This record gives sequence, C-alpha cells and structure tokens, in this order.
Amino acid sequence: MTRIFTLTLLLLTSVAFAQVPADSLKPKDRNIKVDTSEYWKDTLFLKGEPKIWRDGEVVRPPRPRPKKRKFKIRYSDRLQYPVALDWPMTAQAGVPTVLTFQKKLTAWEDSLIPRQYRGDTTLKEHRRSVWLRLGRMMLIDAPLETVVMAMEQDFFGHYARMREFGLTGASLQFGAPIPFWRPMNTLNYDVPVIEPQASRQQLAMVAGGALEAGQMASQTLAFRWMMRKSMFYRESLHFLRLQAAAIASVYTASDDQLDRNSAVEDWLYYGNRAYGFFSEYGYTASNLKRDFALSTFTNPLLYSSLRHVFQQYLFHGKDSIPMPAIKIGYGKTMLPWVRFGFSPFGGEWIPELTFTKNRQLINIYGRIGTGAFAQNFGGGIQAINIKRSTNMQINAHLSYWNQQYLFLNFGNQETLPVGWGGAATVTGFFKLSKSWKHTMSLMVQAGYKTRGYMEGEVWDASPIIRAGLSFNLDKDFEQDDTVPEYEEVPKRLTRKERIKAREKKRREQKSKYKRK
Amino acid sequence: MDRRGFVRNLGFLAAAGGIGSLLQSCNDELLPLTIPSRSFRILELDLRIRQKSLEQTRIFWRDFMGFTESYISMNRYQYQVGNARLKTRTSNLPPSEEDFFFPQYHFSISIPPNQIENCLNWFYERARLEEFQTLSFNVWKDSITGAEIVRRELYNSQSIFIEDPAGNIIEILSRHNPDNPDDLVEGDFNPTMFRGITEVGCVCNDVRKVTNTLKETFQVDEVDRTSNSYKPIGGPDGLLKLTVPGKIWFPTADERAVSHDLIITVKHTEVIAPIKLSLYGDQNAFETGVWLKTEV
Repeated sequence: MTRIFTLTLLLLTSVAFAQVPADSLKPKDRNIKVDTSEYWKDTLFLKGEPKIWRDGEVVRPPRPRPKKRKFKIRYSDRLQYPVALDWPMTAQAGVPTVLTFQKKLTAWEDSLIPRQYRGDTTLKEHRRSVWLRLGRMMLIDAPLETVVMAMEQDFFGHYARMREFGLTGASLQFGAPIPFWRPMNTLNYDVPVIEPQASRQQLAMVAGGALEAGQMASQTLAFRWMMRKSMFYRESLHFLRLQAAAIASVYTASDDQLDRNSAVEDWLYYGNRAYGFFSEYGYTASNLKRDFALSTFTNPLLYSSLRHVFQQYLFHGKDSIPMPAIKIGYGKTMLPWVRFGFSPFGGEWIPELTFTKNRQLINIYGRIGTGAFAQNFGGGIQAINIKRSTNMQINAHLSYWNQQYLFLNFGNQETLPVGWGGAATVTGFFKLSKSWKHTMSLMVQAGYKTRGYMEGEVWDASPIIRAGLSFNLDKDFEQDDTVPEYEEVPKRLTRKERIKAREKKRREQKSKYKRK
Repeated sequence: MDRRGFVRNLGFLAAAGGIGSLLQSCNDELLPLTIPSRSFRILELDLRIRQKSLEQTRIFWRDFMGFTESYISMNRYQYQVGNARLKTRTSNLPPSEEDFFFPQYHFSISIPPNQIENCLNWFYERARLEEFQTLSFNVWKDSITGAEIVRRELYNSQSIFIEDPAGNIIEILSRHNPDNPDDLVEGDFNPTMFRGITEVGCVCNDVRKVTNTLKETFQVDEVDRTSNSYKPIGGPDGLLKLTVPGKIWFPTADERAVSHDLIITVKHTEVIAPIKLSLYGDQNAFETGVWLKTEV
C-alpha cells in the first residue's frame, strides 16, 4: 500500500512539475518570418476570381508562378538570327539582317521601358497597364517598327533591285511613321533619267521590291513562330505592321497614271506599261485588290498576330503566346497559309504548307501566277534544320519555275527567254563561340540559280554566295514558359512492358509512402 | 567508292543531264526567231483604196501622220514614208461591191526602238485635236490580252496596230536590232522618225511555192520555225509575210487575210538597181494569183 501511495505521489509530483521550456515552440532561428497572408490569400482565391471588398476595392488573385523548366536544347534547334552579306546586297541577305537588328532593338527597348504599371495586381493597376501598353505601342513600338520596315523595304527592297540593274535616278521621300498605315517612305522616280535606263519590267521590279521585302520578312517571322511554337509580341507587331502597310497601299491604290503615291501604284503602272497597256490598265487596281484580298485575308497568321497584339498583349500583358497551329502528333504541327507575291509577270498566289517536327521545319510552296501580264508558275521546298546536330545547322531550299520573258533595257527592247528554271541553295550555320552572351555562329550560304524571277534574288543566272555571322538571340528557355519542352519521344512499349512499368511505378509509390 | 556506288552516281548524273537537256529543249521554243540578215529593202508599196475612203485616207496620211504628199495623176497620190514610198490609187471594184469587198492591206512602218511609247503618246495627242475628230481610225488592241503596244518576243519587237480610214492594218514597228544596239533616237516623237516600210503581208494560195520562187530570185532565206501557211521571208529591212487566205490578221480577232491587188517594189541589198516584185492576188476565190516580174 505504501508502495502504491509513494508511486502515486511521485507520479502526481512529476506531472505537477513537468514543464515545457518556454522557447521550445518558437523557431530557433529568430530571423525566420512566416508570411501568413500568402496562405490567407491562397485560401481566399481558391476559385481564382477577384474579390470585391465592402469599400469597393477589388483584390485580384495572385498570379500563378510560371513553371521554370530547365533543359538543354541542341544547337541546331535554336533559332538563328543572321547578319549576312552578299552583293548587290539582295533582299535575301538584307531582310533577315534587319530582322536581327529589330530583335536586338526590341530587347534594348524592353530593358528601358516597362510593359506594366507597378505589379499589375489590382484592377486599377491593370487598367493603367493597359493604357501604358497602348501608349507605348502607338507612340514607340509601332513607329519603331515602321522605321525598321522602311529599312527593309527601301535598302533591301527598292534599292536592292536598283543596285542589281545599276540604275540611278530615284530618291526616297520620308514621311511621319504613322502606325498601321502605309509605309513612311515613297520612292520618287526621276522619270527622264530612270526610264531610258531600264525596261518597264525592271522598273516594276524596283517598285515591287518593297512589297517583296515585306512578304519575305513576314515569311521569316512565320518560320520563327512555327519552329519555336510561340509568338513574341514584337514579332507579331512587326508582322502586323507589314501586313497593314501592304493592305493600306493596295486598298488606296487607283488607276490614276499621273498621280502615283505608293509602290503598289508604281508597280501597277510599270507592270502594265511593260506589257503594252498604255491608255488604260489591263490589270487594274480593282483586280489587284480582289487577288490580294483572296490571299491576305485567308492567311491565319494575320489573325493570330492580331489576336496576340490587341488581345493577349494589350489587355493581358502577355508578350509571348503559343503559336496556333494544327497538331498532327507529338511535337509535330502543320499550318497552311497563302500570301501574295508581286512578281514582274503580274501578281502570284503563293500557297504554303509548313510542317514542323520539334524544331525542324519543312515548307512546301507553290507559285501560281494570276496571268495578269504573262503566264508563270513554280514552286519549291524549303527545309530548316535538316540534320539535328550539336554544333551546326543545315538548311536547304529548292525552287523551280516556268516563266516567259525578262525584258532588258527599254531602248534596246532586248528580251531574255526564261522557260523552265530553278534554284538550289544550302545554308550552314557553324558554331563559333559560346563565350559571348549569345552563341555566335558562322553563316555560309551557297547555291546556284538559273535565269528567272525569284523573291529577293537577282534575276539573272548566277551563283548564290552569302556569308556572315549568326546569333542565337532568343531567351534561354527556362525563362519562357510558352515554349514547350523538348523531349525525345519515348520508345513505344508493348502491353507486357506497360504492365510491368505500371507495377514498378506502384511499388515505388508504396515504398515512398512507407518511408514517409 | 565501291563499284555499285560508282554506277549509282553515274546514273544520277545521267538522269540530271537528261532532265537538264529536256528542260533546255523546252526553253528553246522561247528563243527569238532567227531573221536572216541578208534581205531586200522595200522601196515602194502600191495600194488600192476604195473610192469613198480616198479623201479621208489622204487627210490621214498627209495631215495626221505628217507624210509628204505628192500628186501623181488623177486619184493617185504618193507619200514619202521614211525611205520608202507609199502609193495609193482607187480600187477597180464597182462601187456596189466596195462596201462588201474592199481591199485591206497589212504593212509595217518602222520607228526607232526606243520610241514606241512616245509614238503612241504622239498618236493619241493628235487624235485629240479637233481637226481630226471626223476621221475614222482606230488603235487595234491585242484581241487576247487587250494591250495597245503588242510585244512579240519571237520577233524581238514591239508594235502598235492602227486601222486607217480605208481599213488597212498598219503596224508601227520598233524592232530591236542586236547588231546595232545604239540605234536609238532621243527626244519626243515626230513624223521624221518614221524610217520606212519594212514588212508587208502578202496573201497567196501556195505559200511554199512563192517562198521558193522568192528564195531563188533574191537569194534570201526564210525565217526558221514557221509553217507552210505562214512564212516570213526576207530580213529586218524588208520582210514579206506570206500567208494563205483566210488567216486572221494579228492582232485582230476577226479580220481575215484576203488577196487584193498589190505591188511591192523592193531593192536587193546586193544589187544596186531596183527590182520590181508584183504580187497580184485573185479577188474572186483565193486562187493562185501570184507572179513575179523582175526588172533590173
């Protein structure tokens, strides 16, 4: 009994004196602070809808953190931004060079001017951000793109053709860089000087050079989007600016031969003159509007870029969105579109079909002449990143055509028959250095073309040789969530292997649970 | 390279060569026709004009086109067209048949190669003058394309086709001459730039036979790649376009070639004295009506 009593006493005293140390519940490191508001916010916005307090303030849900993915991408899968040189500095070399410049310019501008007002978390801030983006777009971005477009269209459009034909007697007139309207520049012909030097067809090519350069730039951007599978805001804006310039130029064109104010009107005038339409046009401005509408307004890229610029970017602030394309398999997409070519034989429809597999691209296209002045047709295939490699990228381009005649200078009226012709080029990018911020590569393009008209190339038979440097200016991919992760497609398992793999996974999960 | 690879590569090369030569042969069709350099020069063209059009034709040739006119005899006039003469006289058809079956000729007047647009401009400017509003003439447009200046790559030339008040199809021709690329005249167009009559359409039933006769007589060559129903013979200074009756005159859609009285005086380049060549077509039923008479 005494024992029981003693034990009970001991138990009670131990319970009575049992004390937890005062600082045992507190964190040992006093610097750690737990922000409970974050947990509070998470519970508040479970549905992801903004809350409105009684005083009228609207609290928006916190943005989900983007997943940061880290993976290595092969060298050949990276987008190349070349700075190329050739002679007579054709549009084929000049347009990608200007687009490289545009990319770098955009990066500098982004580092200087913000795209959102403060954190863009409250409705007020969001509204201000929209106005900020709109103002920035209309006052800085679009005018800058207009200037870049003028570089493409003048120095590598009009002037590339003038250099090719050795012409003098034209001057540029610059106007205000109005966003989403006709180009800021107009080529003025000194008629008594330039007309005796060149055939009317050559002058039509000089006029159409600007439109040709614009179409080439649009195509380069489209290839970037298809390869990368995402559209960058400034690329969309540049694409839209080019399309707006072409649409405005075409739809303000008239058949007035004396008062010509745009490259389209000059192209119509000299094209018609080349084929003997003197007092009235055989291929009129209204014909052009019809043909142009059929190709341009059926182009899905136009609507994608419109949606990106005016909805996703302006209202939601997304500078990068996934490229809308038709999925045909794992990492495989395709997209058809049609564009309009301003050839010296009259307009031509260029239907294109682009396939991508991861970052390899094949573009098959046709060239169907409208037959406005002379019959012509052709087609080709363009492949980018043919062989995936860790230190080089190889592209190839094959093209063929059937065209009628090219006219040399007007005085001699000499004609060059074309008939069947073609071109083949191979482009190689070879990794030079990784030490710089952007990987630098050597770009070499070699090939040959026979006599005939081809976008951005000289029209006479000649070897094609271009060289330059190329840079990988895209952001590293862990920063860009819209870029789908590149993965090798796993080997297809048999049924037994699938069951085994499933069981193995289950076992692993169980053991993990037990360990926990 | 092993033997199989070598044979395969050889096969590829042969195939590429075959495709290349095939394409080349396709492209050869676009090459301009080879017009022989040895030819005769057309000195004179003697046309028949229907009675009712004679006065209008005079105004057209003399006042509108600016050719110097000289009177020969009653209803016979002569115009100086560059280095050639154009003679007109009334047709020998009865007036009742004139409206139904009047003579229509097709001939070309050459101008400098770089003046074709200026010439058309000059033509339209003159056509707008009030004094010529009563004249009935017309610029033919290409019946297929609708172009006013018709480019013919096979002949390496550009042409304007004019219908004069008598219904003749007159081609104002600017031909590129690769042997003489500096053959250009600067400045605005004026009638002194008309150089002469260089092409004449001749309607005959047996083109082959007439071609052989002309070849033997003048030692000139025919233009290659042409058919037996249409055979140009001569050279850049004088080209006779022999054609069968019924052929539609270029660039019209329905003007058919019909034989009529026509005298062409030509001068052979190697003979100093003029040689007369007269072509009489039968007016009734496309029968052979061609004979040659040479006078040296």
